[in-house]
Amino acid sequence: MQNLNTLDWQHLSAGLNTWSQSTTGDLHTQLSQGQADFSKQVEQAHTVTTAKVLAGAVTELDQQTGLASVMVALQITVSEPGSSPTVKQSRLLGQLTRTASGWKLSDLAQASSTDS
Amino acid sequence: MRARLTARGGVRWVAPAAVWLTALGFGCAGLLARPGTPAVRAVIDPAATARVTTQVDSALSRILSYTPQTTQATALAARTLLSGTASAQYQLLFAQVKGQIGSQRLTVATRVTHSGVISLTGDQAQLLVFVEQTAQRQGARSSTVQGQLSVTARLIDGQWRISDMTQR
Repeated sequence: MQNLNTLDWQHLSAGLNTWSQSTTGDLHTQLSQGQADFSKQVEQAHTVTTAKVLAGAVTELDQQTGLASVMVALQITVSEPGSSPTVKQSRLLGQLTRTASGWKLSDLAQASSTDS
Repeated sequence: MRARLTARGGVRWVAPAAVWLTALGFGCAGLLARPGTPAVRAVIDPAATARVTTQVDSALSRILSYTPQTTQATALAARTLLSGTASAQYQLLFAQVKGQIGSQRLTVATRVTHSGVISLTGDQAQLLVFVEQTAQRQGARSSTVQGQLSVTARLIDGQWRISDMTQR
C-alpha cells in the first residue's frame, strides 16, 4: 500500500514498475490500463507523492484460497512545485492474493480520508 | 490535533471527543514498540479475534458516545470497559469536559467502521480501529469526521478492556 501511494514524477517508470510488481489480478489490470493517462497527468503536474504506513492490520486470512484482507492507515504527502505540500490521512482496505512471488495487492479501496 | 484538523478543509473533531481521541493515548507508544512480541494468534484464531474485536468495538462506541442526559451513565460504563492508563486518563478528562457537554448541549455518537487485530496473545491485544464520529451542538448542524485509533486491550476477568489508545 505504501508502494502504491508513492510516486515521483522524476522517477515515473521506476515507480510504476513498483506498482506493477506489488499488484495482481483486477487491480493489476486496472493500473496497467490507466497507466498512460496517469503518467501524463503526473508529468504535467510535477507531483511527488509519498506515503507512510501509520498502522496496519490483517482482518481476514484464508490460507487455503490464498486470500487475505487488510486495513491500513496511511499518511500521504503530495508535493507540487509552487505550493506547500498537502498532508492527508487515508484509511484504506485492501485484498491480498498469494502468488508465486509472494502476497500481492489484488484490490484496494478507500475506507475514508480526512485532511490533516 | 484540533488545530491541525481544522487548518484545512473545515472538518473538525468536536472538542471533547477530540480530547479523548488524542489525550487518551499518550501511554500507547511504548506498548506498540515493545520488542519480542510472543506468538501472534490474531487471524490464525478467528474465534479469539472475533471476541476481542467485538468487545473493543462495543467499548469504544460506548465510551465515545454521549448526550447531556447520559454523561453519568457513560462515565460509569467507562469504569468497567477501560483499565489502567486509559481509565485514569478518561476519568480525568471526562470530569473536565462534562460541564461543556451540558452547557453546549452536545451529543456525540461514535461508530466503529472497521477494526482489525494487529497482534493477539493470551491476555493482550493490539488493534487498529477506524471510527466515524458524528457530533451535534444544539442549534448547530451536525458534523461527521473519521479517524483511526490504535488500541491496546487486556483480558481481565474474562473481559477485554481497553488499557490504552492513541489516535494515529
